[in-house]
Amino acid sequence: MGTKTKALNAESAQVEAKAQIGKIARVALPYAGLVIAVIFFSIATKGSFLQLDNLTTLINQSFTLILAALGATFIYAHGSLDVSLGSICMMSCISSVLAAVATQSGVVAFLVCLGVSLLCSLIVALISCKLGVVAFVSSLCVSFICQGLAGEMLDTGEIVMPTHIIEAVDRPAVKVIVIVAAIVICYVLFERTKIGVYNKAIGGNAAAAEQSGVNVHKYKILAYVISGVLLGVSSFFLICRISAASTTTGSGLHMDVMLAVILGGMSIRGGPKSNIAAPVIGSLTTYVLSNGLTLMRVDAYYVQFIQGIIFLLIIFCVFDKKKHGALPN
Amino acid sequence: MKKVAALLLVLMMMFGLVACNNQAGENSQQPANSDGGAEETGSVDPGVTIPEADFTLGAVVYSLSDAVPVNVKNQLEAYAEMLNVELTVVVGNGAEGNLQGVESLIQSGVDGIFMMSAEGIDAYLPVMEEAGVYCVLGSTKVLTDSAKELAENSEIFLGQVSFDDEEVMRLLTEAAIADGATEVGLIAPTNVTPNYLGIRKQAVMDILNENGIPYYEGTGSSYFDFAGFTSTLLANYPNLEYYITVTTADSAYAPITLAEMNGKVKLYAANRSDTATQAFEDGTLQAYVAGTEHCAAEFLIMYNYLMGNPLVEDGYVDITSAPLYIDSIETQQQLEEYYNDKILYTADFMLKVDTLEELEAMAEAATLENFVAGTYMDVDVQ
Repeated sequence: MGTKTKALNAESAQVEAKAQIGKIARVALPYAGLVIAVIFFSIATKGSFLQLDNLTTLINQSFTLILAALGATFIYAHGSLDVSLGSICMMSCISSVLAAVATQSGVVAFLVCLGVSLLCSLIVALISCKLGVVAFVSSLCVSFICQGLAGEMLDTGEIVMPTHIIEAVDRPAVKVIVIVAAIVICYVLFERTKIGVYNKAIGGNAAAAEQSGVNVHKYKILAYVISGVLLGVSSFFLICRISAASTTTGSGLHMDVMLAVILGGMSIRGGPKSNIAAPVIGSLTTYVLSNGLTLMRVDAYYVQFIQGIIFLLIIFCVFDKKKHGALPN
Repeated sequence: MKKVAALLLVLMMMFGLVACNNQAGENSQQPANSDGGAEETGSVDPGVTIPEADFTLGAVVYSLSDAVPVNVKNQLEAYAEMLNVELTVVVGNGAEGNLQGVESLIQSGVDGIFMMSAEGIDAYLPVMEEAGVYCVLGSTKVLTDSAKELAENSEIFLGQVSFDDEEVMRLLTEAAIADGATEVGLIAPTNVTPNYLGIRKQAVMDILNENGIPYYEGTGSSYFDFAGFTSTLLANYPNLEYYITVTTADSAYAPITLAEMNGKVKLYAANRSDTATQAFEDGTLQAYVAGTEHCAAEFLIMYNYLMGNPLVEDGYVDITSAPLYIDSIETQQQLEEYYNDKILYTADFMLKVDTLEELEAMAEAATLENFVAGTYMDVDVQ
């Protein structure tokens, strides 16, 4: 083999090695960030961060976001943007509490919460898929509808969940079981079934997916169904945690979910590189950061500054702007 | 390689900043402003011995993008520094945000927490009760019946200090009616919510209904879209002259596009306005109410209790602070010179206020006239 050929081969091998390292770094960075943050705060707070009480607090705080973000990941995977999550959460919570007050039944309250969330998510999906409206716009419309309805439903401005239902539901053990089950089920659905695979394919190239025989509308609607179910469960646990529902419940949830997914290293443009671990990692990182910095008594301005820096870091290091940015065009 | 280097540099910067902040926090905290209308305001008198405080405090404010919560933060930090108490301030918005803020502060080991919002009190008060952490509510009061019952039965709810929101809106609404308002544009969130904004909105609606005066509302894309509420009102009702808002006349948090209103309408606002002077000169702003930001009374409720001097034996302290009614460029300038961003009280005075009667007298003396005259500390304290 000539010298020139050898040099070219060596150069090619180097480029490939760099690409592999870059790929591994991009995938590993969100995980590494979480591990580093946990280690750093454990040391900086002299162990307070790892105390059982604090870990319980972290689970309680991140629980609802993890569930909502897991569901939303299916929607982001096919490249849609849903800004109705907060409003649907609010409607679900209000409906659930009204049902709970009327029937004094936790089961009924849960089923109502789930049903409302599922119904609203389906409406978003059907408007988007069947009427050809962009998902962002259809979700915005549903968001407005929910806000208007909620105001009519609540005379007093606030309604309180019966205590016996809260006591039965709002327990760390229950939450651990629910979250583990949700993660396992979502992993299987996202990585091992057509629902996840096809949604990622649609996110990669919807036209190509359709031509390959994928029923695009069907799988997009299924993604919204999954999101609706998980959002319903999340909303029920949220209302049991905060005890009272009002028209500000769930406010800003869609932004928190979006940030969690991006912080976890997944682009909300979707596509084949979507991964179900991102919402879990991102949600945990969000709360580990705010919890740890509060334990360290860091000034509130610095907390926001550091969160912003880390967010930029993730965007800068994880997302290859040429191939797939963090955000939709 | 470059990306890794950049990442490492930023991480080092970040951790360095955190370390510096902690060191700075341990050494000293500067008051927000040590200028004021009284002598030695915002400073420790040389002859005053500050007792050692073996407790730490926390505070949850709803935003760092709005002048009111920022000033609350500055005020609390200044009084904490003045009286040698460690204080941590976190941001929490809405019921869940307040609960998260409370939980994190409890984990950090605080003994008492100032809350700027009663939203989610049904959730956070039991959490504080279980942890044995005390609560004082500032800039707002318990609003719902369930919250009032909770506070009354709670052993850790020490007190609350705020305006009477209904009284504030009565002042403003009646001023608009006296000025000739026959119909009103109401700038408020669409729904009546269980917080100070909802209370204020309901109060305005009740007074207008009593007087048979119709009112109109705008629409917005979110709960805090005050700019949207204003714009849609201006567009849909071009002849509407009088406007009442339940929040500030302007702020980063809830902007209501004063520029659009310039010279066209007469606005009555329920909170601090940073561009009030200009708005008064333009003839847009007619009046607003200030005064929820100073937290000396709230601080003293918590401080006295944790120093072993509860101001009430059973129940909790309930102080209604006087609203500062600003309705001219002159009073606006007085507010800016003698009140806004000022740390008003001295350590000596704060240490002397140790009974409920003295605290009530202090709150009663907190009027604009007294701030201008410098007589707001002329309260009979032992």
